[in-house]
Amino acid sequence: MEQNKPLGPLEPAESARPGVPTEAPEAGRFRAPLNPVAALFTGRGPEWVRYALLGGVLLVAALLPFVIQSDRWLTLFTIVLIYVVLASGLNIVVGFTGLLDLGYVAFYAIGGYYAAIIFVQVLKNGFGLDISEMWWLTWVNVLVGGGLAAVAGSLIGYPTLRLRGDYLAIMTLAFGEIIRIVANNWVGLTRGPSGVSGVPKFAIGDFVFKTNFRSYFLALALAVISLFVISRLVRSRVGRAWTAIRDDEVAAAAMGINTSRYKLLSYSCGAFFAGTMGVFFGQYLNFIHPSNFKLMESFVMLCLVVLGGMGGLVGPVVGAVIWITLQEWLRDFEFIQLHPEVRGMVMGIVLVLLMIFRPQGIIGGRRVPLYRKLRRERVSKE
Amino acid sequence: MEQLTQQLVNGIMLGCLYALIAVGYTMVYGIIELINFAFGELFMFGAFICIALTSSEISLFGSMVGMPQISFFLAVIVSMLVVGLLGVAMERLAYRPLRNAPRLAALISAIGMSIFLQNLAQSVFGSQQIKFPDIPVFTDSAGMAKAVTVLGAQVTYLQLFVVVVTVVAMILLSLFVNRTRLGRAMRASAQDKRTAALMGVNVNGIIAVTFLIGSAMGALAGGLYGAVYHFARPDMGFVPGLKAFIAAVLGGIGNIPGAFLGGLLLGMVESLGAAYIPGGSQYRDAIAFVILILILSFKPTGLLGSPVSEKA
Repeated sequence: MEQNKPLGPLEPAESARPGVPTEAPEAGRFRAPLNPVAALFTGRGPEWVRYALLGGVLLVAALLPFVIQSDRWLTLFTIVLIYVVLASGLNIVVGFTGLLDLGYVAFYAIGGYYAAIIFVQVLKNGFGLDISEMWWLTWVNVLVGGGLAAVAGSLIGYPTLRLRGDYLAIMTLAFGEIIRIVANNWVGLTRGPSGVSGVPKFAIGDFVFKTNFRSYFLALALAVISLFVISRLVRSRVGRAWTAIRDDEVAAAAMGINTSRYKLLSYSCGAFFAGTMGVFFGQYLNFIHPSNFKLMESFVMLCLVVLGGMGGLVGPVVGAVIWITLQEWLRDFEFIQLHPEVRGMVMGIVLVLLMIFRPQGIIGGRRVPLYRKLRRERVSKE
Repeated sequence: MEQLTQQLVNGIMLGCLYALIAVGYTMVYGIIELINFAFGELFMFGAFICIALTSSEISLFGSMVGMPQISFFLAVIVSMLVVGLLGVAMERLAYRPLRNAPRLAALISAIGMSIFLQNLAQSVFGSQQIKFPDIPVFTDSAGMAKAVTVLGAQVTYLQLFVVVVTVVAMILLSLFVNRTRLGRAMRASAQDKRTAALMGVNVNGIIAVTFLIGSAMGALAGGLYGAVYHFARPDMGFVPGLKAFIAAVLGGIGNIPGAFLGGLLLGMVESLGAAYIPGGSQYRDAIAFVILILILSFKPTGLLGSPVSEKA
């Protein structure tokens, strides 16, 4: 009754090759021990458990900065929240629509550079505005940066519509790299390899989000809003269309879904969240540099999604929290401080082992229930 | 004119190197449909092993170790063997358990492998760039590269060697795939793994052989690349690896002549673009990506690729 088959969003492309077996992918060997936990998180239990868990997680997240005094860890958790949103945004494209995007970092870069360039332009030209009075701009930027990224998302998405599977992946990768190379070389606009420093911080009037403590809550608020929007989005008509395209594009088209339009929409929506986070990143660290947007970042984001388990809402969040924290925590070991490259080796091995033993991710790919009412009925029957 | 021929020569040589790595990508993709991002790292190991074997001593794990200082040609062959076996081990440990898992899991595993190998190289050889020793056959007594002048362009012996080796390797590979029993088994596995297995083909063995050949070709390219540009560095494999993959896609992935064509095309366009487009040298890496986008926009299956049916 439950669909236990791990999701393979690229299955339609795979089965497009004649003769390649398309049977259900074999589940990981170590599936069982993690399953009760995964079930809790993905709400296979009663409804109230799910809400209690959600509330608990939110409470912990909100109380975290009162407990942790270390600046380093507070910064880290702010970064974790950025990656939570990035991974969830990418999950719209990869997990829900089944389009492999290896250039997602481009949209993050667009947001970040938008915030930086707007600041440079206002500073340079003034436009008769006082920079200290411009606090409201930091908030407008979040939306405009996201919007710009969304437009870029559909522009970049357009030529990839005809492509499938890995060709699509390599094309998105190319766009991602082009944007980074342009950012690195268009010195007149982006200040090239020296980066833009002094991007203003978020502020409401005189209240500036200058401490890590304040920024953390801002990040938390943004993350909660983003996740809420995404969770509504994927349960909407649009989200159902995305899922249909992922599961079988030809069938979806036959059912009257305008696949091109919904794919573009998926790119745009995913890009929007990356754009907002780019702006947040710029206005949080006050510094934007091309090396923040390397191709490896795209890979990291993809890893977060797959690691946590794609196609659900919880997976990317779990993936981001665990992976980014692990990355930083490993630095604490004396051995790794002496041999920094060992950290990279460990991360690589962990990635391979996790995929071997749990290819569907930590939480496991479980569909987001499309009709909550149906779901409730099913639960009560149990 | 002289500049044009010079750039063409440089481009052809660069293209040959891309083509050698692209063969690995294209053969592996042809059979198990995996983008093995770690080929760039195998390429890097190829260069490092060549340096290690041709030097009199080298720093391993931070301590100097004496080395046999064998001839470059022997070193390339040894490094091809070692890296080939490394590739087979990688397939056995990181990819085979994921053969039936969702495709993305295998891709992530490949990324993990690539991160691991790059850091392993840093740990073994240090994170600094190390210099490739001069090769006696290709340099004169003053340490200058021996060269011939063709149409005003300086063509070094080493560049000629690269081109000849690549062409020979491509011809041998094509003959291998099209004419031998093992090659036939390989093509059969690429078409349909299950049916091939039913016909008595040892599919796992075939995949291992594919990785062996692909990795050895990557190591060959790495050794030649290191010799041409006189260096090796743990992160040197990333960009050439990526471009080789682009070359494979350009030619139509899964197709060996396509990989050669794609590599040559990419190398030449990149070389000419860097020379003639204003600001081209800064945007050198972007040129490859723009070409890729253009070709895929008009011919989504690559130049020599066969069209994929919508739904079987």
